[in-house]
Amino acid sequence: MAIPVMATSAIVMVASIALLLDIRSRGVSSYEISEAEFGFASWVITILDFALMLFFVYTGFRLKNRLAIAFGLLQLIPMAGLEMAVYGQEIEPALVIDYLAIVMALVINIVGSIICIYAIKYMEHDNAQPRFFAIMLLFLGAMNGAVFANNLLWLFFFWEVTTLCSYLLIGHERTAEAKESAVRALVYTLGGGVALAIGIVLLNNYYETLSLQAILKADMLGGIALLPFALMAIAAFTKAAQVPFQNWLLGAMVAPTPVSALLHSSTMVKLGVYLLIRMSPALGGSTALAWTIALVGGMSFLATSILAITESNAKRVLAYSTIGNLGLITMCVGINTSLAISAAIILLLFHAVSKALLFMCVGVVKHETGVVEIDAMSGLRDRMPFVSIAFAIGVFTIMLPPFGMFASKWLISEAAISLPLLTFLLAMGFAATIVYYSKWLGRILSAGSKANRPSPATDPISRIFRYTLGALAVGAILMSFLISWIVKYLVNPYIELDFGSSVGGSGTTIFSSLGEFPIVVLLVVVGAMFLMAILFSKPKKDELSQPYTGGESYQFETGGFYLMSRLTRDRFSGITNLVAVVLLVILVLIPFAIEVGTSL
Amino acid sequence: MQNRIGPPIIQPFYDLVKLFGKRPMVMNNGQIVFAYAFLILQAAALALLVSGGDLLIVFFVSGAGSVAFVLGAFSARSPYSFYGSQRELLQILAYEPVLLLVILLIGYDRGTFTVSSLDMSLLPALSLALIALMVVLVIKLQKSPYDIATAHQEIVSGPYVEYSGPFLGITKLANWFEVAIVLGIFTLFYWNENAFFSIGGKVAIVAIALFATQVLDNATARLTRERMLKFTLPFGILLVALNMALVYLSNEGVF
Repeated sequence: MAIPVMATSAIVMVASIALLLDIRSRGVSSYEISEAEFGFASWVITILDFALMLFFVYTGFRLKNRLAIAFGLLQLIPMAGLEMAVYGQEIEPALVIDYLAIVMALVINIVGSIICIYAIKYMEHDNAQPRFFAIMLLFLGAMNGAVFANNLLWLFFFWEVTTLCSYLLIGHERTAEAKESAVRALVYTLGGGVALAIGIVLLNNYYETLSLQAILKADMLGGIALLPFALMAIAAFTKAAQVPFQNWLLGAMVAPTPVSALLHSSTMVKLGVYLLIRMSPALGGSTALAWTIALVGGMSFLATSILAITESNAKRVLAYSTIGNLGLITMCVGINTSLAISAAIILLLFHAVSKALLFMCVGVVKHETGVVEIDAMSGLRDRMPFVSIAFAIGVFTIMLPPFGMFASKWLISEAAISLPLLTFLLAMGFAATIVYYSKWLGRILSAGSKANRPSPATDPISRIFRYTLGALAVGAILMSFLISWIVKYLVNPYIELDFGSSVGGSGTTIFSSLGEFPIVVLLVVVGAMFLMAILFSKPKKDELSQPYTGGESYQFETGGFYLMSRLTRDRFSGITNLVAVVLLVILVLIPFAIEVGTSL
Repeated sequence: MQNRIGPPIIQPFYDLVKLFGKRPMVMNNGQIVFAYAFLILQAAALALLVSGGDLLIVFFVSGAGSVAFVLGAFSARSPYSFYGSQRELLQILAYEPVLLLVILLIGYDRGTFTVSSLDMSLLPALSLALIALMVVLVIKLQKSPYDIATAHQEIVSGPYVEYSGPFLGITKLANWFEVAIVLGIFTLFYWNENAFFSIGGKVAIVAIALFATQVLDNATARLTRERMLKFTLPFGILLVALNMALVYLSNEGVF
């Protein structure tokens, strides 16, 4: 399996970079590809789209799952109606490639490909490797299609393909638990697909076009015409596993680790927040709608950050962390200022790299030792030093200054003061994030006295693991150094189109309208001194001590700390879901309320 | 008091100098690396604050320093150190939201986070936030009722237990920087065009804050972890929320 997967990965990586260089050399902010250039491809997409929806209905019958059948039919009927209504109509351009799409393409193709290469080793004893890799690569393809699509029908098709891929991949292991989780994921995301389908039909109804670009550029209609955006936001929430839809992503943890890494970092959930960022210019039309979206995001961030403290399974902690970070992006879209959208794109980019790295570390640990519980990872530093260092880099780059992802958290904090209520969700969420990551990393780094440590450990992990983890770890740090260029050449060209840029970079510092962050200076100072400390801190033999145990026996076990009992935790997530459902109901009611308000 | 003469007020400095002169004893190099990281990050944060940098960055860099300290304590597999660092994390959970909210409130009120462009007393508009900040100071100073992580009688000074000699000195020094950052934020609450008054006022605020923590320290017993969390967070957040509402109302021209 190794050679075709590696070749495909290399090709898509190079292609995505070539795309960036191409758009830069043309000096344009976006370019368009007409439907005519695809010939009969658009027919193929239409046919496949209906085949796919019929497959979902069929799967619903096969699984005897009424909800899946209902959701399948609820997509099929409006889409069939829409196809007939727009039959023969040209929807131009078919694809629009702008900087937002390119940022997404880079994330999908580079991070996604690294995960696929990693999977070659991880899945080497699997019985259905061809099927597995075919779906993985199809997933990457569908993601690319979805972010470039301008024709909403195409966007819908690729959106549904990602639903299919995630369903197949989550159920890959064919255990009862895997099947259950796969069905759950299918039902949740099909539900989102229904919201998207109805949203698209309504958009065509109000704006009389299916070109996303034209809709976003059109004069915004108020009132009930906001309803499709509310529905599309709900579709995005299901993909991005925002509260109250977070359960499918937590269940998806039964999938092989490369699948989790892919779902969490570069595909699937990122498609949800991509759609939100994409439609953010339209949300400026209604503050009520935007703020409700911001609240859903803020709630997702706070609730999952607290729940992550109570969780002892490594993959579930990472899942909560993903939902939290996507919550931050959702919140940014809701705040809807230039500063907030810049922060959202930076976060999306850096989160993909760091989160893929963390998942892959957890995967290696599981692959080599079978351990997934955090408490059992105690002292991993001695046994698997390479993975532990990679993991530490992942945690540092995801939460601590002066690394890149932190820059976006800084921008988010600044952006949030335009909606003070959010600052409270944010402040508590940040602190909780520090707690759950620190206690986990602390476990891994925990080591006994060097005096009684066995001979220096050699890391048994394979070369593929070493290279893929290493590439992401180095990439995460390197990107932090390059952040001002990332802001200048990747983020701002998109932001300038709709908002006017608000974040600048001058090589060593990034600055916003409210403050400045001397990121490279900090990186160099802190990094250099940290490295010196590592290099010159070799305690001599006679300087080693034993742990102080108050004179008791040296053997001891330390328990973890989880803040809440299981009961409190369940109650807490129950309340969170309730609040989130109320927010979603409000979200859908807002357009009606505005309509009624203006007609009175 | 009690006819006895206590140690001089600069005794902690003597202690620190003495610690640096001692022979290093550690369990492993993780401890050393994170002790240095703790010091470097706190020093960098303090330097940023003094040089008039961005308050949010000061907060986050200092927060990273606290994380480094926790990781250093976790590095040594020892029961007291382990429990100490768990408690330290709980303290972070208790004070960080309040500190961040105070800083965000400053930004909300003044429209900037850059220290050098804060040229007005914050006290009149943000007096409630100042009270919220007191809780943070008490925790950072490791004073009663919030000396929970370093509780001597329970867990033998917690995260510090496996540090000795110069490395204990480094962590102590870093903790002083940490406290200096909070006190530095206190000084922002007073400003006057006359440099002399300005400095006088700032010193007075710091002196009052320190005196208040001493009184609290002597008047209270240590709280449990749960009560710290259940009290400080709602207390601090409520004060900041009230203050934010007041700022909002005055911006809207209600008064």
